Amino acid sequence: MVDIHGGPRRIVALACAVALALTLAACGGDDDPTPGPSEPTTAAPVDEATEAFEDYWAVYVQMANSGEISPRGFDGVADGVFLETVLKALTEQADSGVVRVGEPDFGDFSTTVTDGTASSVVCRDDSQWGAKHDGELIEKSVSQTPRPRPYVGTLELRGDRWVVTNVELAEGIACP
Amino acid sequence: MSVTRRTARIVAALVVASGPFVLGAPASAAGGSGTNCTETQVGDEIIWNCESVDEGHEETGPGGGGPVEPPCDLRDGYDELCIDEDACWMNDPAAVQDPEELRDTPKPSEDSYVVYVSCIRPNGDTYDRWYWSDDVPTITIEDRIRAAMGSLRLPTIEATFNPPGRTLVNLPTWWWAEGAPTGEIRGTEALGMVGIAIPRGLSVTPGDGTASFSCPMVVTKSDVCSYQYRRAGSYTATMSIVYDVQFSMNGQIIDASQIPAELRSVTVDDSTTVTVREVQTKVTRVD
Repeated sequence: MVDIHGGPRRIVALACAVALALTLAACGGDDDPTPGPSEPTTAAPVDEATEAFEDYWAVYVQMANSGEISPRGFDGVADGVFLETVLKALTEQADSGVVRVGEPDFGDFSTTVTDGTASSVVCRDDSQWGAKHDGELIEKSVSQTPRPRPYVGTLELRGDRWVVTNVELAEGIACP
Repeated sequence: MSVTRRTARIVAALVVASGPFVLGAPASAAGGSGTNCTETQVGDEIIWNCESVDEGHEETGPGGGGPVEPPCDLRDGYDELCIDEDACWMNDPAAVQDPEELRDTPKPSEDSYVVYVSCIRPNGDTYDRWYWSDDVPTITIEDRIRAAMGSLRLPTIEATFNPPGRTLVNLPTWWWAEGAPTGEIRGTEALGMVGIAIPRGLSVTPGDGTASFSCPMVVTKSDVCSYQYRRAGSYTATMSIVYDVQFSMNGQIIDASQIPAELRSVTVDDSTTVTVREVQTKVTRVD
């Protein structure tokens, strides 16, 4: 079980330190200057990957709130089979006459980068992200009790851009 | 993409090539009235979903004999269509319009786009596939029409007559379909197609051996639709509502010539027992 506490930068820095130590240990005594397969994470890729994951959620929330579901909205932001399920979910919700109101509350993003792949974990609290049907608020869709769920996103670096290739509910992670 | 998925796609192609898409009946609304909204999970997404609940009227599939039984077990979100025994859902168009799997397949035409189908087999194995829209040979207009027909939920009717309980020989017996909707009924979209049922009117078979007769759409107590039984007895009368069915895709009504004849109308019926008594007048005194 992993608890998500503190800012993403702190967690990333820790991950970087561990990765760097492992890399140096593996390469100790070797004069070959070629970097190992797990190059230490630098701040820029982590920030970029995190921003890409944030962009994905922004598109997701915008579509859910507007009820206008367009696959093109994810162009350059997300890709992969998971997106088909996302589209189905958003379409089902909109087709049943539901639009979301408010916004989900995202906790700190915890992102790690290895080579051209990133993993970002975030807790999403939907307690204030309500739902309306035919213009009327569904009372039970909002709550004063936070109910965060952990999501893990997988991102790939394509060219100079991070693209979300999978998002799923994370197992073994407890949100605060 | 996993090896499992690649293998599954090949099997899917064989299945698709061998059988048509068949729509399954969505779950009927259950109990209560108004709208029932629930938080549901689709894949790893949490969404809100609302469905209308029509109190007092169960819904039925075309033909009035209960929901259409799909040839597959629609479950676990695989609830839109059947490919033989496999339950599936589809995105038309797909969210991903440049899947790696189609990069070696030339785009058939300028208007082509990518469609995604995801299915589950009876044994629980899943598979999915992207197609060029032109290369999905089994999804024809007729398939879409049949899918839309399966999504058309018509209310059951209640054959009602007056006088209630029993009627009398030579007395006009009024007939109506208590509470039935008089306007058009639209189904939910299936494979991009929507079925629209427009009630043509009532048909009553008195059950005494005479032919059925037609009436306008009567849903409340009225003498508009009446019949006189000529002999006493107990008869099983049947009332039917015939709906003319249209289909709409992208807001355009489909030409009737493209609709299979058996899908151009739908009948919903209900039977009731009518007791007919004979009243004799006994003259006891003449002034």
